[in-house]
Amino acid sequence: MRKRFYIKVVLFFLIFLITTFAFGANNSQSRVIRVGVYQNKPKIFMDENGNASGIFVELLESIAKEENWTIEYVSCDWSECLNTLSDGKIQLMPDVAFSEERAEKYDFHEKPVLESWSRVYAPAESKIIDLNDLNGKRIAVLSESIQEEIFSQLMSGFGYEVTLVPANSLTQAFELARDGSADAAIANHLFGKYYYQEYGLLKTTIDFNPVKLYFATAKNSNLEILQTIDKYLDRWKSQSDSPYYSTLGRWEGDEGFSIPSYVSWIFWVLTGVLLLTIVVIFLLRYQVKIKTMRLEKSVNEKNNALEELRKSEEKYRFISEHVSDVIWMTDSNLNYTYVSPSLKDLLGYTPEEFISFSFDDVLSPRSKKYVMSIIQEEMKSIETNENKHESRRIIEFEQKRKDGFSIWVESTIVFLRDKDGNTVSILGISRDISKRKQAEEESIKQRVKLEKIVRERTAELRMKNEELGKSNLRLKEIDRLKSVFLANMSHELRTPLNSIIGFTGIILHGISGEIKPEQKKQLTMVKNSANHLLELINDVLDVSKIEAGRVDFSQENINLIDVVKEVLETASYMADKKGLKFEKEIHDDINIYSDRRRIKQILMNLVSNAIKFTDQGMVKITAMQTHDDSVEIAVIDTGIGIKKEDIKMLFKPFQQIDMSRTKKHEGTGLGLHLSKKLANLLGGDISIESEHGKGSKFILRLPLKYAKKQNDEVDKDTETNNNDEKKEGK
Amino acid sequence: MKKTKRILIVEDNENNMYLMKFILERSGYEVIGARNAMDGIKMAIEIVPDMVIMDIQLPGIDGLEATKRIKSTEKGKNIPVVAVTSYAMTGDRERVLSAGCDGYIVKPINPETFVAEVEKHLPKSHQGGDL
Repeated sequence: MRKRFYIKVVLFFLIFLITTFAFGANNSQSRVIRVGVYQNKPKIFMDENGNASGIFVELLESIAKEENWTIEYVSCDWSECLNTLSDGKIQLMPDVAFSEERAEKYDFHEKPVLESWSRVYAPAESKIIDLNDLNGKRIAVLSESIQEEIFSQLMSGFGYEVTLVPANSLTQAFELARDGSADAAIANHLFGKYYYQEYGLLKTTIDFNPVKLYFATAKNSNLEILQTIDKYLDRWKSQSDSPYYSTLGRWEGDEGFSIPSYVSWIFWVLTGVLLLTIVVIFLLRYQVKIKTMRLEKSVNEKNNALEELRKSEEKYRFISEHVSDVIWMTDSNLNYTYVSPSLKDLLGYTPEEFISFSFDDVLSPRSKKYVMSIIQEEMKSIETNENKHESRRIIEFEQKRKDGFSIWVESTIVFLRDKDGNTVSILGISRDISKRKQAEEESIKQRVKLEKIVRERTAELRMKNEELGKSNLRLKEIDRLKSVFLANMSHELRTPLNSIIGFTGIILHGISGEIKPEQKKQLTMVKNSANHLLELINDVLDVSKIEAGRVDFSQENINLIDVVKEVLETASYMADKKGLKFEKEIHDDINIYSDRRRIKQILMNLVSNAIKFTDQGMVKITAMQTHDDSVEIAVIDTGIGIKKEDIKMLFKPFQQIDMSRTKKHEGTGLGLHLSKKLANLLGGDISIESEHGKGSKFILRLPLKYAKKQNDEVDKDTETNNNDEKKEGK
Repeated sequence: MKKTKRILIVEDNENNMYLMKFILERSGYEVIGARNAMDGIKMAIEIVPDMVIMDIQLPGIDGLEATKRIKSTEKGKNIPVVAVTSYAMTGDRERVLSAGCDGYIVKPINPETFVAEVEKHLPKSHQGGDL
C-alpha cells in the first residue's frame, strides 16, 4: 500500500514539473517585453497592490494576450522612464505624446492610442468658466510638464497674467485647487474626467494642447512591437465592441453635463421611488385582482352552494312529503321539531296539530315503558361516550291515533349528537305495521291451531297404534289357535288310523293268526281305504298348512338321481301291477339344493297320477339341467292325456277331470293342487304338455338353489356347497 | 343267552298301546306300558328299560317334557327315547330332537316297518349283562 502511495506522489510531482516546464516552454516561446509604468491615472499607473493598471495597460494586455507577449512592468517616474527607454532597459513606454522632438529620439506607431488634451478644472467658487476668467488667477499645473509650457505660452499670448502654482502630480494640482491654494488646476482631460468630481471641481471649457498619445520604443528597436500595436488599434477602432472601446468606456467615465452629485442622487432616488411606486402599484393591482377573483369565486361558490342546498332541500322536502312513511325529528327533550305530512295517514293528526306534542305523548300505555327505556338508553350512551356520534335502533311499538285507536308502528330511530357536541337530536322514520302485526297474530293463531291438530292427530295415532297392537295380538292369537288346531287335527285324525292300519297290517300278515282268503281280501280293502284316508288327511293338512303359511321347508343338497330312484322303487310296484314299463332317463349328476321330502312328494304325486291314468305303455322320468340354473324333471306317460280345455282346471283343488275315473282311480283331487303349490313354494313350477288320447308330460321345474326370501346367505352357502359337491364328484 | 330287551311304551291311547305292544312282543321284546307321562317317568327311572317309546301327544305333561325329565335323571339319561308323533307342525322335528329324543317315528305307524325303525335306536351292545 505504501509503495503505491509513493508512486502516486512521484507521478504527480513529475506531471507537475512537466506542466510547469510546458508552461515555461510555452512562456519561453512568448516574448518578454519590459514596459515602463509611471503614475498617471487613469491612463497608466501602479495600483496599491503593485499591479500595473490603466487604459494603456489594459490595451497592452489585450494585445499581449493575443500575441503571446509576456509583459514585465517596470515602475518609474516620467523622466526616468524615458531614460530607461533610451537605455533599452525597457522596450516600450506607454502614454507618450508625439512631438517632433521626441520623434527623433523614439519611435512611435502610427495610430494614436488616445487623443488627449489639457483642461482647466476649477472649484465652483473660483468662478472660472472660460479663458478670460483665468486672468490674475493662480493655476496649479504639473511642474515641468509640456502643459506648463504651453499654458504659459497661451496665457502670455492672450496677455493674461496668471500665477502658476507648481504641483508634483496631477493629484496634488487638484488638491491645491480644492484647498484653495490655487484657483484652478490643469490636468489632461482623462485624469480630469476621472477625478474632478472627487475633488469637488467643475469642468471648464478651457481646453488646450491637444495631444496624441502613443506607445513609444527606443529608436530603431522593437519596430515590430509598434507595428503589432498598430495592427490591433486599427482593428479595434473599427469594432464597436472591441477591447479598445470597452477599456475606454471603463476608464473614461460619464461624459455629459455635470450635474451636482446630489442632484443625480436625488434623481436616482426619485427614479427609484417612482419605479418602486410603479412596481408597488402594479403589485397592488395584481393583488386586488387576485382578491377580487377570489372573492368572485367564493361568491360563486357560495351561490352554488346555496343553490345546491336549495335543490337538496327541495329534494328532501319532496321525499319527506311524498313517502308514505312518516319522517319526524325531535329535540333532546323529545319535543317534535318536524313531522312529515304523511303523519295524517298514520296517526290522523296533521303536522301542525302534532308539532306541539312530545314523543311520549302519543305512545300507547302498553308500549310506553318499553320504548322510553330504549330511548333513554340510547341517548345516555351517546351522551356519555365521546366517540359515539350516532346510534340507531329499530323498534316496534304502539302509538295512539287521533281517533283513539292504537296502531302498531315500526320506527327506525337515529340518535345524533348535535354539532354543539352535547345534545342529542333524534330523527326517525315510522311506518304502519298494523297489517304485518295482524299477519303475525294470524300466523301465531294458525300455528297454535296446527299444533293442536298435530297433538290431536298424534293422540289418534297413538290410539290407533294401540288398537293395531291389540289387533296384532289377536291375530297372533288366532294364528296360534290355527296352529294348535292343525296340530290337533293332525293328531286326532291320525290316531284312529294308527289302529286301523296297524291292526289290519298285523292281521293281514298272519301275526294274529291264520286268516282265510276272503278275510284277507276284505281286510286288504280296509287297509287300502285306510291308506287312502291317510293320504287324504296328509294332503288336507298340507294344504291347510300352506294356506296358513305354516309350511316349513328344509334345505339340503340333494342328488336328484337318488330321489328319483326312491320314487321309482315305490312306484314300480304300482306300475308292474298295471303292466306298465317304468323308465328313468337321467344322464348327468344333478345336484339341487332344496327340500328333499317335498320334491319326493311332488314326484310321487306326478308319478302316481301318470300310472293311474295310463293303461298301457310306459311311464318315464327324465331330469335335466337347463341353462338358467334350474332343473326340469319330466314325468311322461302314454296315458289318456288331457283335453286342452281341461288343463286349466287341473291344478285347482278338488277337481278331477273325468269323474268316472275317480271311482276307478282313487284320487284325492288335491294332489296336483298341492304339488303345484309346493313347487311354487320351492321356487319353481309345474307345467303340462298333453295330447288327449296320446299321453301327458308333466314338467316340474325347480331352481338349483332354493332360496328362502329372507336369506341371502343361503345362496352363498349354496354356491360353496354346490361347488364342493362338484369337486367331490358326487 | 340273549337277555330280553325291555321296552317302555308311554302312550295314552289304548288301541295304539295295544298295537305297538302286540308287534313288539311278537318280535321278542318285553313291553311295559305307561298310560301317562308321570307314570312313564316314574317307571323309566325305576325299571330302567332298554328303550322308551314316547308318544308325544300325551295328556298333562307332554311326551317331550317327560323325555326331558327322564333324560335329566342319572338313571334315565342313557336310555334311548324314540318319539312317536303325528309330526304336523312347523318345527316339530326340531322340537322333538332338541328335547332329547334319539329318534322319532311318524304316526300312523307302519306295522311292517315299525320293528325295524325301533331297533335302529337300540344300542347294539348289551350282551350278557354283567358278565
